[in-house]
Amino acid sequence: MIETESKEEGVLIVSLIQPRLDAVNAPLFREKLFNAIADGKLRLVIDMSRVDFVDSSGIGAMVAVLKRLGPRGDLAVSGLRPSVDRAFKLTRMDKVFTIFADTPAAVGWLRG
Amino acid sequence: MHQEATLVIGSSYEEVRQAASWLRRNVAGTLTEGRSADFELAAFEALTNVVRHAYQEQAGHQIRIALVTTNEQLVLTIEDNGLPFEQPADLVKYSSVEQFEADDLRDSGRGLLIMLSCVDNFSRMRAGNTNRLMLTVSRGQPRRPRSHRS
Repeated sequence: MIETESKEEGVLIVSLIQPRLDAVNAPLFREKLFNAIADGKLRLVIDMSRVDFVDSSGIGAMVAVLKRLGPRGDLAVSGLRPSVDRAFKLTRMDKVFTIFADTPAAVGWLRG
Repeated sequence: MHQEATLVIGSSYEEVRQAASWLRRNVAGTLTEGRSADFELAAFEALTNVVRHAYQEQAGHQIRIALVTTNEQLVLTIEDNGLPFEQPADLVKYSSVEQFEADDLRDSGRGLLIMLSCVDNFSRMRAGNTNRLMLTVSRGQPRRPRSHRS
């Protein structure tokens, strides 16, 4: 369900390759990201450019990852499609997450 | 115009996905693309709540879904025989979107916020041993600020 790509300077790009992040797969997503954090990956980009549906469970999993990182890490989100952007705005998560149009911009921010 | 479609699914998140696909097919052409997506999202949240809370994520139970389409509106009714609706803190505290606090990192309540935001009316009741939740969206009219009735 996710692909990961390590970049220089400790940035991990997590690409969701399924079109949905919802109650079905959110627990596994959260577990994989928790494992990455436990492995010391503290600067993360979640690339959602292939996701066209996210529900409150998916958003909740992302919030859990953000909380797990805490002040020791950074999280950027990239590539929100309109339907996903809508869900973020409905739940006010557009104010919580640092969102970029694409992954290179997110990586650049994390490196900055 | 008065059309009714029904579906029965099991109490699993995978079957909730199937119900979302069914709803999308039945709503096609009756709402704008954006409102259709909102309706599907609200329905998904409602059905997920049934699996999670009414049936405690236990498989083998039924969820009955009915969609009534008229010239004026679409009404989605969801029934289950799971645990009664409790009045979670969020439902007691919030009766409209505007009343949600800005505690954005909360662990619950986003599903309710989505439902309130995405439909024109959200109501639920307990009749005998049946939970019944109704989501209503009007056709072609701008949505008003949402509220719910329990």
